[in-house]
Formats: sequence, C-alpha cells, structure tokens
Amino acid sequence: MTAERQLLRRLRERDERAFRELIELHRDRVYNLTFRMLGNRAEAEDVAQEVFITVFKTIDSFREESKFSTWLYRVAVNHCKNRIKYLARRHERDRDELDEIKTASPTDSQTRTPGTPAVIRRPDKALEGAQLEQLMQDAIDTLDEEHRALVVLRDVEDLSIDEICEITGLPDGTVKSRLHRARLALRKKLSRHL
Amino acid sequence: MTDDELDAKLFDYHEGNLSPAERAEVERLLAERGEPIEPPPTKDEQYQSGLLTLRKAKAPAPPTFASDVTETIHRRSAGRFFGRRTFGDRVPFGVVLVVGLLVALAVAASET
Repeated sequence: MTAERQLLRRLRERDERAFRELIELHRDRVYNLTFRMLGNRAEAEDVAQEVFITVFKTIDSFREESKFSTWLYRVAVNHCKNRIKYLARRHERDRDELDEIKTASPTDSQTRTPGTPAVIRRPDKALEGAQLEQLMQDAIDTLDEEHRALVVLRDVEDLSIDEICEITGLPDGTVKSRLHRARLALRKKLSRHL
Repeated sequence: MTDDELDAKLFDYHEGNLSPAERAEVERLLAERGEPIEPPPTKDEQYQSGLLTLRKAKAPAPPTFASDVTETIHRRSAGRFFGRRTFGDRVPFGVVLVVGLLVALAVAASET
C-alpha cells in the first residue's frame, strides 16, 4: 500500500494525526493557490482553512479515481471561486449603499476586495521585485474567477492542461480558449501600466 | 470554425503544439478574418518577468496554520469529529456502557 493510500485510510478513520500530516504536506501549495487567486492574505488563509475542513468532512466521497492532489486543488479552486463571487457581491452591495447615502467616494485602495477589479498601480512607482509581483497580482485580480483560476493553475502553479481539465471539469478546448483570452487580457493590462 | 475553437487553436499555436500544416491553417484562418497574428502573450517580456516574480515569491502558509485548522474542526464539531483515542479527548461511551452492563449482570448473578 502506498504512503498516500495509508494516509487516506487513516483519514477515513478520522485519525487526527493523519489530518495534521496531510495539512503539513499540502498547506503551502493550497495557501499559495488561494493567495494567488484571491490576492489577499487574510482571505487566502481563511479559504485555505475551509479547504482542509471540506476535505476532512468529505474525505469519504473521494473515490481515488483521480490523484488526491487533483481533488484537493478542485476543492480549493471551487472555494476560491465562491469567495471571489461573494466578495464581488458584497462589494457591489456596499457600493450601492454608499451611493444611496451619497457620501463622498472613498479611494479604490480602501474599497477593493479580492473579488473586484483592482486599479493597477502606476508603472513609475512600481517596477521592481515585490512591486512587480504586486503589479502582476493586481492584474490577475482584475480577471473574472474562471479566467483567474486558469491563469493561476497554468502560469503560476505550472500544471498541465490535462491536470487543469481534471481540476476544473472543463473540456480541453474550453480550457485552452479561455486561457488564451485570459493571457491576452493580462498582457493588455500589463502593457498599459508598465 | 467558431471563435472558441480558433482561440483554442491559437493557444496551441503559441505553445508550439501544432504541426507546420496546422500552423499554416491557423494563419490562413486569421488572414481570412483580417486579424493579425499576435506574438505569444507568455513570450512578452513584461508578462514573463511578472510571472517569474509570482512563481519565485511563494506565499507560505502561516506557521500556526495546522493548529488553527484542527482547532477550528474541534470547535465546530464539539470534539466529535476526530476518531476516539484510547483514554484521549473523548470518552468511549459504548465501551463504558457494555462494561457497565456486564458488571451489573455479574453482580446480579452473584446475588442469586
């Protein structure tokens, strides 16, 4: 029996030590994915926690037809997409309420949430190292949740198209066409601001 | 060919997955539509360096992450989620009940 299968068997028996081992094995990959998809550390941590809680709660439904890491990524991507939609809705509601009471508009940096389009920083102020990272992250944050997931899985996590198809449940052609459009959109945003 | 199909082909075109004949077909289709062949987005210098920084700057989970998750599970499930550990954090009520019944039966039998 492989180490992963043994771990899965222990997980199904609700062995707490196995859960901890699983978290130690995958926490950085899951957190990195949630952070790149949400662009915010607090939200990323919260969603990453929910991912592991979901995995623990639904481990009996994992039938080992795919790799465990693929299933884990699927759970993580779905949680991120839901959070992005939730944050976008909340942002819309907050904005409507602000419009209604006709207060002065706050700056974008005060109101931006991970689910809403970001204003990309000025190029002359953000060019190197961490700033370039932030610029790219901001550009990714402007994509909708579907395109964002594909760019992060392919271009940041470096997964194959086959793996992405398994994770997202999308056909090969759809993954490729969306990824192509997402990359064009990203390049456009970057070229406009660099 | 639909727009989606063409975009999928363009993805493969830029990734270098197509044969020369397939590449020529994509170029012909774009020419028919009057669209220029753009350079691959991922070969763009800004795009590449932006991605490189994201890949390098791995965001590790906070050190307390594992304890935070298990603590949350304990809290939400009121300690019922994880399996029993012998004399651990949960009382094995089933075993206690069976042992209690056996003791009661033994006492009752000895009195008769």
